[in-house]
Amino acid sequence: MRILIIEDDASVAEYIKKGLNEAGHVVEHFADGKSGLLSASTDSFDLLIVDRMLPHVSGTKLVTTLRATGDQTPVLFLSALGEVDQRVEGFSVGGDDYLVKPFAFSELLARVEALYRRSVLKKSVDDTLVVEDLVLDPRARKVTRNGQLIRLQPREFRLLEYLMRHAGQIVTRTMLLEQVWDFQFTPQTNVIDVHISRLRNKVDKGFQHSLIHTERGMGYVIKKAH
Amino acid sequence: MSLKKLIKSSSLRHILLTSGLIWLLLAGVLWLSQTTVIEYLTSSMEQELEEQANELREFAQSGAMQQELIGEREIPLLEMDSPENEPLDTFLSHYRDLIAREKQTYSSNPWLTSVLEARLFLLGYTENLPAKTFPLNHLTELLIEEIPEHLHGQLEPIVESNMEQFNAHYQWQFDSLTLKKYLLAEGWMEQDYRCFFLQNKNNSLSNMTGDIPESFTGGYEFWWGQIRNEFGQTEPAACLLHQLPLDDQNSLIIGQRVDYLVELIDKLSLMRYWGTAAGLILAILISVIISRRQVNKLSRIHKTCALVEQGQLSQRITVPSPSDDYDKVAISINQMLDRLEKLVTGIKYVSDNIAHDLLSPLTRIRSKLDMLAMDAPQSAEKINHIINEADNLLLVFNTLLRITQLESGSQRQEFRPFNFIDACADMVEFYQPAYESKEIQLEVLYQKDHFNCIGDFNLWSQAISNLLDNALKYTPEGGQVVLRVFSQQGQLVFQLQDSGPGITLTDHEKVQQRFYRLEKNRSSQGNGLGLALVKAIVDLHQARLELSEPPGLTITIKIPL
Repeated sequence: MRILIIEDDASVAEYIKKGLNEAGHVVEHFADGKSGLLSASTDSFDLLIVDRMLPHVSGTKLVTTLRATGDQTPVLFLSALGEVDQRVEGFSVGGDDYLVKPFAFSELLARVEALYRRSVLKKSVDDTLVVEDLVLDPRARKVTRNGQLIRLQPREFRLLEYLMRHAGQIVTRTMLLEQVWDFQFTPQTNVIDVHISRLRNKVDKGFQHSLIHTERGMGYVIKKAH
Repeated sequence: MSLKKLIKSSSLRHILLTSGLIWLLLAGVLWLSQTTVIEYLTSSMEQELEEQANELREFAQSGAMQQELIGEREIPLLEMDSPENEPLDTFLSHYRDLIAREKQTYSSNPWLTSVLEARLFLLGYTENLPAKTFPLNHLTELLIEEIPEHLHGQLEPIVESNMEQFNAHYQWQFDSLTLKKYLLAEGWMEQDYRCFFLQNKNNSLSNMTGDIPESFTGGYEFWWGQIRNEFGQTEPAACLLHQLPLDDQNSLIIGQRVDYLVELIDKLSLMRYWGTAAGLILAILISVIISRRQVNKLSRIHKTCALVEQGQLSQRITVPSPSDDYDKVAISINQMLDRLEKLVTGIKYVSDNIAHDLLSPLTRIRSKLDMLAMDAPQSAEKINHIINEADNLLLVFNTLLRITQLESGSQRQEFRPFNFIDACADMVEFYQPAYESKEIQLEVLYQKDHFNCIGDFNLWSQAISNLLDNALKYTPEGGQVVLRVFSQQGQLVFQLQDSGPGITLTDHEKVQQRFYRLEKNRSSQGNGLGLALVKAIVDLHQARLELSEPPGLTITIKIPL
């Protein structure tokens, strides 16, 4: 991926750049809104990481201007301000995700890759999701593994659906809280582990291969076992 | 300024006092003026009656009354031809001669003789007094004609002194007999503009019918009864009576018709009643108008303070033109609010700056640690422990900032209506598996599916989450937790009851403070801010937080609807 970072804090920028590079992405960096906007509008990128508080042109203003030109490049906002109304503002100007500083790099990476996949793959919401022998039909709301019907409660279904939409990618606990439970704050995140283990009980137990894996310190992923 | 608010306000006392005073003033003025008018009229009538009475007495005691009663008997005039400017002596000698001659002529007529004698008496030529019933006054008048004008001046004193002698001798009385004759003669019985009662044992004379007052206070009394009018009919009348004692132990009561006065008094009384009633209304109106300004000023102060309390720190009381004490209070409050706003803004500024200035180094520490873990994977585990500590520090930090921000109250501006049950249901559903894995029975009792309230949905979700988290943490395995939501006395009540160790009464206050952790729980996970955050959220919504005593812990939150 070609990623543009617009961040005035040099060490944060350094931190992100290094991590993304190691993950195999190409990274450009600008430290102020004006030059960042210029670069974003003239060059093409797969993803933009924009800090809200920037010199010259604020992050939100930058994205507003960009969207006004018809640019649909996915945008991830970074900010020290995490209040609900500020997050809502970030999304309302056209941002696709919002991450509060400080964050674990793994969190950033997971979200970046999720954003990218969403924009690139553009799968229809109704398409059936498949991971090995696990099949999820969003329209019929049916889950089967190896032909056997698996009964899931609504929340469990949503959880599985989200994991499967991001199959192969690490999904962080915070992402799950925001997307599957729609929480605007973070309760004790290890409660999520219990939900995951219950899901595992229904989806993995008794079958040959486990599909739901825990990546320590990072999150969860559903993928083919090696 | 609604009527309801007016009644509830303490300005009601103010209004009542003012209107009471104004009314008393009006009523007093009205009463005083009426009394004065009536007094004046009455006293002028009393004066008239007094004069009338005195006139009658003088008339009687001077003998003039009796003389008048005697009437005019024919007295022939003595005609004399006197030359002009005849000297007195000459005239008198001629006059006497004439009288002597007449006496001789009419010697057989006692009447005429007495007349001639009386003439002599008047001029001082005889000591023989005329009879009591002799019309001496009338004779005096005749003398004036008989005596030439130029001699009047010289003879007048003589005649007068002899008249006096005559009167003094007979001692004319003011008695009822004479009066009766007089009143009858004067036609008082036919007069309906005055009333009288001549008391004379069995021989009273009066044109009044009805009860005659026995006693007279101050000599005057009002009387209502019947009067015989000139046509002989009786008609109702009102009089002011005056009593005069007569010289013979009887009394005469005279009075003036005062019907018009009684009518006037009645009308004035009516006016007084209506005037008093109108005065009351007027007084209330005036005092409401006067107080209105004060009441309005007070309500302006109150409204502004209410707005500020809800978080609108920039509101100020409008003071168009500072004049009275209320304005001074308003100005003082405005100054206080300026300071308050500055302080709160200062706090906001500081905490926002902390967010930026202090979080940045912390973020850098964390990100450098993260990078270090990437560079030295052999130490990754140890470094991740350090990162966890850093994350805890940041969490505490953020929660502290949130609590401070909540306490400032400005979050109230974000309040929206929402269904409280939704917040509960979300959290219960989220925590259910965790409770199950610890084999704690979580029971949920909602009185209704819908409890509308106004506030911040996310804050309440966070509060409920913190409480469920605590209950989960402190309830032993196999325990029970009950969540109830119901309404009580116009309040929305949220209750979470667990079967854990509970919190003793002495610790109730402390646990709601920041960082306080019960000694026995120091080892378990947590930063001591969970309940403090819940408290801040409860306070922001102007709700109440109550803790129960052991065994177990029941947290009750009462939210006003």
